[in-house]
Amino acid sequence: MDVFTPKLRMKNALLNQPVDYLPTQINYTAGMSRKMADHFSIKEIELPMYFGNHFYRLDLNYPHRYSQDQSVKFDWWGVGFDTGEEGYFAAINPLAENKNLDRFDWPDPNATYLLDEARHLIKQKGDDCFFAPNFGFALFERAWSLRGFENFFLDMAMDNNFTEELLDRITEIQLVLINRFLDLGIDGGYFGDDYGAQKGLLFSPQMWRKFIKPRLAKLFSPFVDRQMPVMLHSDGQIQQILPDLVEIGLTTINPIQPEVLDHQWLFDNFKGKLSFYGGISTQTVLPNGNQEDVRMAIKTCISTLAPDGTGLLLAPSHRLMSDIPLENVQVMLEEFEGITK
Amino acid sequence: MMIFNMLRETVSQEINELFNAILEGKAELAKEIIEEALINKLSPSQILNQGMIASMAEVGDRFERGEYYVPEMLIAARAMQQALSILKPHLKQSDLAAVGRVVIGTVKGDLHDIGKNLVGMLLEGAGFEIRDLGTDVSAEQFVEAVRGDEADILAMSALLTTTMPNMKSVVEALHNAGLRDRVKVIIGGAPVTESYSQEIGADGYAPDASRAVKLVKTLL
Repeated sequence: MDVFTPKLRMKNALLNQPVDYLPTQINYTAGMSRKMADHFSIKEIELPMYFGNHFYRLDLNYPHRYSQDQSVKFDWWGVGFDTGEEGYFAAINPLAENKNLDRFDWPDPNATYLLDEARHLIKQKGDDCFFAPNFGFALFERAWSLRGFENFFLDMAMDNNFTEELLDRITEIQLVLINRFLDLGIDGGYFGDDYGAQKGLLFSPQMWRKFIKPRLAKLFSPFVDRQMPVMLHSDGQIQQILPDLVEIGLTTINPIQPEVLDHQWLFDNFKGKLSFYGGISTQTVLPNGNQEDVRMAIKTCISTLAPDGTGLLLAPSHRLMSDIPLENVQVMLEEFEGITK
Repeated sequence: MMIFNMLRETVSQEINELFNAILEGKAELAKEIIEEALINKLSPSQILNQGMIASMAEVGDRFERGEYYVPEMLIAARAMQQALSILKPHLKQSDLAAVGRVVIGTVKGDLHDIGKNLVGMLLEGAGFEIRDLGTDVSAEQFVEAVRGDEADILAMSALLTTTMPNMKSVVEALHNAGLRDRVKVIIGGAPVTESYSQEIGADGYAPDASRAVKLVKTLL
């Protein structure tokens, strides 16, 4: 019988293979991290271990740059995120006024130092832990965060060539990084790209198929070729494009917000074709439910999405934010511990 | 009689073309059609109401039916705005009188404005006067704007569960300022629901921009 390291448990669950018990994961915002460390009387850095997390995301290593008043933090691409907000808000879009892509100072994906931290972590824990690079704001979100939301939507509607060129440039850079990460010995892919609002896609499935699908397929393909799990975080109501995502090799969909994507429908339609990551609502039950509601939501999530005992990385649907009562976090942890027995 | 009929057909054809140009987000074409329609002595208020406001209503309906998405709505609203700048000097004061005044904003602590902007655009397209307070708007700012602008509608948005409770604070602040009965309050945003709207004593909730316009019309 297999001895299940967290890494094997995670890989098998994502590929719908047998596991001893379901892997779990809890991510959280910086504000919530402080609150929880205080509550559980441990250091913030110890939280992932304390929670029994199974998924380690690898970030790029580069010098962080802030605006003078510290209100904006710039990411590797030069997009400025507001530091005062607990969610993500792209406050500075460096390509907002510039459509000449040759005149933009693109980041260099071959810079040697970018993967230093990732290399170190894999060396340290790679035998036991599941590592995947964090390609949040992967493609569509990368494009609109560079251009500004309205600008990029107007581009998509009115300037085909520019839209394609911008997305191609992003894809090329991401592919260089993906291949470098693969050389380090990672276990799968993780992409973030929100295509949905609460009630439907932000742009039409036809437009998604034209602009996004072929390029996302390119980003997935190095993982598909190696038969590795490919996870995609995509918020909102994306039901219409799920079959397309399966077609280009997606193995795992996140965050499966229960108030947006019906879990029974998901399971009935994608059993064996997809695995699921998330499922416990950070929009309703965790911030607003009582302890019994939280227990019930977790049990229902497991019985609906993983009746065969695999195919689910059980987790809150998003990062825990500071409006979630600590008692509910405690109850969630107890339920998580319960499934290991 | 025959001449009259021919004229009517030309009239409706131009209005139809304008309706379609805005629906398809063709700003330049919309402007050309308006210029031609003005030369042909079409009534500016007819151009506005039948060619433009009606077209934006259709944009909203298509959005609601899942045939239009954000990009189509944005280019239509842009065409409407540009076309209106050509037509405005020809409209009488009475044509320009807004159907109602709306103060709109995203609540304190929340910087997300996509949904709010779409609601603002469609309300503007339906003939409402919009005062957009932007994002991260405090209860005091909302109250002052409602008081100062004599707003008919206060529309609030929130994306985050952490900022959604600030909607309740605004409703309370309106009460405290003695303004609650003077203005209708509508709310929206990803975590917002009809039951939350009732819980905090708002006048209504809409799940999307098109239905927000319909909601506002029923409230006035």
